[in-house]
Amino acid sequence: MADKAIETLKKELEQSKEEVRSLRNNYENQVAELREEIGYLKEQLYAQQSMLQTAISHADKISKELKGIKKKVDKGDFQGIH
Amino acid sequence: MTTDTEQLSSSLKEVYAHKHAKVSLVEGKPVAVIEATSNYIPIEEFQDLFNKAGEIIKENGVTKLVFDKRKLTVFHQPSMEWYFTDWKEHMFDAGLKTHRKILPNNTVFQESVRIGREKIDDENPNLRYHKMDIQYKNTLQEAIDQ
Repeated sequence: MADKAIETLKKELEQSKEEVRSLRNNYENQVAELREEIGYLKEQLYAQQSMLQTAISHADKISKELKGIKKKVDKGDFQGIH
Repeated sequence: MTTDTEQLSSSLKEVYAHKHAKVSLVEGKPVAVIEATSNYIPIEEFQDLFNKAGEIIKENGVTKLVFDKRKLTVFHQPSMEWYFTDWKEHMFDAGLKTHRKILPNNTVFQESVRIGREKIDDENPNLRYHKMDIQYKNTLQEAIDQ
């Protein structure tokens, strides 16, 4: 009788261990997926930031060029605008 | 407009579905279409996608590639550099010498592409992509036909 109870307990223990292993695997997989997703989002944010910086630098450059042209126009130096 | 909404006279057969894009072949023509399906493709995924597309292109004797980027909102210079200096260089030997691109209707993205391309051209004056026929088009049908 006692042997049977021990056997049953052992089986239950083994099942519980298996369940814990499965839960741990699921958890680890989810964490890995989440880390990957965060890595991608980080890369996307850096790319977005870099894209905007390029656009700002470009707009700044055009703005300076326009100011240069305006100065030449104000001076009546139309020859220099080419 | 994407392939979902654009009326096409050509038939596309999807041959590969990636997490961020799909690859199709145009029936009866040596043309492949890569359509971005998300707003950003991380560089690792981008390389994985194009390496897979390269295999499809070689297996099917594709000579023209249409890259539809209309879904993209974020431009990534390192991805573009790899695409031009590595992938296109390898694909030149496979006979892929005609490229058509469709850009998103986004001025910042378009300017980033232009500036990024200038940088790549300046740094790589001798690469074979300079010998390729690379053009930008507005619609998928134009990109396939012209």
